[in-house]
Amino acid sequence: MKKIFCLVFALATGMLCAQNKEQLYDFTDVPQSLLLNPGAEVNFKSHVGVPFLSHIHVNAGSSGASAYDVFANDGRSINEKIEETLTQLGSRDYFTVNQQLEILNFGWRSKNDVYYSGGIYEELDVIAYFPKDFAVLAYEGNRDFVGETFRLSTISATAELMSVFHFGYNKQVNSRLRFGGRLKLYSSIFNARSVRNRGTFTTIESPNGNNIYQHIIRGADVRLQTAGYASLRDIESEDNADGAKQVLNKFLNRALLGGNLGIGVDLGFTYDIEDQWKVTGSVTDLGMIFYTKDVETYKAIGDYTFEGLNLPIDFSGDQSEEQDVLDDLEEAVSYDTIHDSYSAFRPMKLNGSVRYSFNRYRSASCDCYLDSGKIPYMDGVGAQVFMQFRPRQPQLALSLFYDKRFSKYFRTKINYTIDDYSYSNIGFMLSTYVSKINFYLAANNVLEYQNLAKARGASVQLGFNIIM
Amino acid sequence: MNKNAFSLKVLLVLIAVVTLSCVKDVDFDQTENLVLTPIFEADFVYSKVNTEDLIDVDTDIIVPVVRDTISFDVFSTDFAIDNLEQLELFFKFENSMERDIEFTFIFTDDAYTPLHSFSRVAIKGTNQIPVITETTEIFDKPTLNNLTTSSKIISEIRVIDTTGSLQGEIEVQSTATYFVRYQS
Repeated sequence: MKKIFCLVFALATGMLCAQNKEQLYDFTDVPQSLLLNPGAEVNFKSHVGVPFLSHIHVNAGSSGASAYDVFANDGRSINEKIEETLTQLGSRDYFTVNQQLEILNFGWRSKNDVYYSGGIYEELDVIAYFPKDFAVLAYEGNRDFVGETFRLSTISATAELMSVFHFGYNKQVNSRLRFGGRLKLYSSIFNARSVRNRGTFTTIESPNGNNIYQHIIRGADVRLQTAGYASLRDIESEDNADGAKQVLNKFLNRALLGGNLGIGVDLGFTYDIEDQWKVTGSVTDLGMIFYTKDVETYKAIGDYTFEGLNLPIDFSGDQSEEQDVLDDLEEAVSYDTIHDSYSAFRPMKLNGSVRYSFNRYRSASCDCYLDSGKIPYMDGVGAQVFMQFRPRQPQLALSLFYDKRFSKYFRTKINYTIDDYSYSNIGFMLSTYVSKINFYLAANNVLEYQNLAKARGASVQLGFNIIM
Repeated sequence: MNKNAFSLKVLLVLIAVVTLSCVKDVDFDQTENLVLTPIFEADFVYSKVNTEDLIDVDTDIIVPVVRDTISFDVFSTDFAIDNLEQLELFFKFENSMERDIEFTFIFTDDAYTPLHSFSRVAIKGTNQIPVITETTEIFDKPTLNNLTTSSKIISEIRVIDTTGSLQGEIEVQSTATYFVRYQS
């Protein structure tokens, strides 16, 4: 129990943010910007990502507290710090982990000037809201909370591991507008979700009741939906020596379109208002996954009031009729395991930006990036907005950025972002291009890297591409 | 400055920032000192015993012992064995009978072997002025350690006075307070 409590706390306060990639968005020198906006500007003829190394992304955050808040080596007892953090955290605070590993990425420009791109990537996405009410119950008990309601709705979390196969289209529609779309096929490896739970647990004084208190479970409706879990559990229970191999084989099979399938689209555009002003926008992961295989849902529904055990129930000393409170509870609050299919929307993301470019490159012999023939501006400033839909409420981030191109070989971007995690999030990105090899590295919250324990969110993306 | 040299320096600085980042001024070993001490309070048993419950309707004489058995295997769970530090059973008797009534609780294992017992007396009152008796039975850790195989509670009610009216009622209310201590 203590370990579970510590784990929840460590995760909720860990430094490990939303899937915002504010540095990479509209950073058009890097092909992966097409995954954030399929209608992004593309100035190269073709590209191939270095397999497994073209996009490595880790992004994690906690909206309420940092690891330092709980584990600071400051002479105070950890119990004191946990109590303070418990008070500080609310049921809308959450932690997220998002990780992506690109396996394959490629693209080419067709004769009719359409840029096609495609690839495969693996993604892990976890969000768990802080179960405030039950954390308080576990930490302090109910004795000092008589009359207060503990809400089952504070339990809300989803976890998804999947592979994504995608193919996109990007075309300059007219002199000002570029439009793009991407079709995605999701193959879920594992899913677990417990959202929209309902019901309350309350202990009240009962001056006119049978006993001193009444413990009331009212309108309970708690569900945990899983897909891809039951068969893994069976492997464990068989205690097979090659269990790990079987798990790996199952994961590989599911990753290669053998899992629960889903479909989605990305849509985006770039619009040149005038030569130096540009707006972009995109919606990504507009889709859903249909969970029909290996599905197991656990649900508990009902109402129950406990007043203690009533005695005596007979006067004969017959011990065959024993009262058992757990039997009564199980009868009142039915617990079932069902195997009904379910579906779930992907966490849709919206990105948008406005950009002003200036300082056009003046050299007669332009060493413009990728020799696209288009004389670039060396500097750009602008603003970006990001929103991701989540089970409780959307996550929102606003960024200001400055983008500087130093040469054909080197371009950087710096962002200042306000989000749920921080008001002092400075992000930095650089991209190099040498002998057709592109390397990019982006990180946010860089001011916190001197001590990540104090950071509420951190994100890193890096990768290698061959661009022609 | 040569642009390529500058580029290289910036690249190295960013890589250094990312790779040389650190986590400091924290001590995750503090979890070893983490002690959670929640206190849970829950209803235990309740009853309303009246004259008819204590007299055999066939013979019209007082039943020597009114007995009941309830399943109560809280103490034998791994959670309780590892983390339950103390238990307090609080009883409130409200007696309007003119006789003292004794309540005995016997904790047994599955084979009904007694492991621990205690008794409390509901002090006699009158129909006009019922007497309220409040009492608490404390189970310390050594006592709880003896109850790790406990799975049942037998309750016994005895009329222990020989004189006085049995007309009236005894109302029993009780709570159990569980003092938990999680520590590795």
